[in-house]
Amino acid sequence: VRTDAAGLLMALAAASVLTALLVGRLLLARLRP
Amino acid sequence: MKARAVAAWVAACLSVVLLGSNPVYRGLALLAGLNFLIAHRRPGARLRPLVLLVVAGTAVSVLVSVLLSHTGAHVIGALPAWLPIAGGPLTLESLLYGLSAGLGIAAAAIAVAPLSMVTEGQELVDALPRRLHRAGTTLAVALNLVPAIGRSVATVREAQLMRGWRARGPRSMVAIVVPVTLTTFETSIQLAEAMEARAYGSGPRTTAFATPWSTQSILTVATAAVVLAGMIAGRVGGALVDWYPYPSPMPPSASPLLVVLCFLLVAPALAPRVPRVPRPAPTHLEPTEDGGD
Repeated sequence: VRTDAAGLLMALAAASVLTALLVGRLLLARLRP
Repeated sequence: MKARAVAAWVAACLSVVLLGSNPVYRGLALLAGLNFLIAHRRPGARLRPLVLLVVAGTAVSVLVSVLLSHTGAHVIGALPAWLPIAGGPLTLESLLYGLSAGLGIAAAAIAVAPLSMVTEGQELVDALPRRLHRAGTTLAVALNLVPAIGRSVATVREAQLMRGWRARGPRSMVAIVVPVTLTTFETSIQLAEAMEARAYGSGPRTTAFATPWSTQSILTVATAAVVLAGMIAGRVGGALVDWYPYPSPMPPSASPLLVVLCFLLVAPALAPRVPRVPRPAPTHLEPTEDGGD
């Protein structure tokens, strides 16, 4: 159960980073002339 | 980026999506895939139709699961029993299963999208082993004919409408089918003549713009190999656990090591983009690295 919780927390962190990267890229692409 | 590197990345991402039904890994693969597409897509490749298709596919998956599967203990609603097939209780389990399946469809579609949105068609043919060059060319030509036939149908239909033709059942469609078939034959013959005029089949396949192996491509292949090997080992070793909402919905199991492997898929998207600079026309054509047949 402890490994599962650590895995889920890591997955949540990874998903947050990937989403931030994605949003950042989309915003940059929109701002670029 | 080298087409073989893109193909290796696609294989690794697909392994994450298809080796198990765990939504944690599928979700990470979907996000990594979107990052990869946005970072490396060809100029002019539009993401919106793909995203719309993926959203529609997920919505259909959820609807079908919720309306057709009435199993599960947690009832969230009900449709009148007189409705054929859809009538009955709507359960949380079927909703979660539909979402999980939809996530799988979306992740798989995004995983294979780089083959058409990052690489050019001829780069994919070049990436095939020597013996498959002709089969690849035939397949690429056949796939290119599909939109051409669509355009031909639209043109012929408009021309027939201008002449007073109206659609009146299957028999009237002869006025469309016959000209479209003849146009398709004509286009095929013209294409064959154009390929023959360019010496197709007379020697080894040549390319005017050979993409070199860059550091980015090598990094992509290395990452893909690590992810692919790790996911297969996880499946065989039991670390990659499937997830089903039945009989009772529980949070999915996630292995920290496999989460790190899924996160690694984004590495090629972090490398700076190498701009595509068209090279001047060569004085002689370079054989492909496989040599041709």
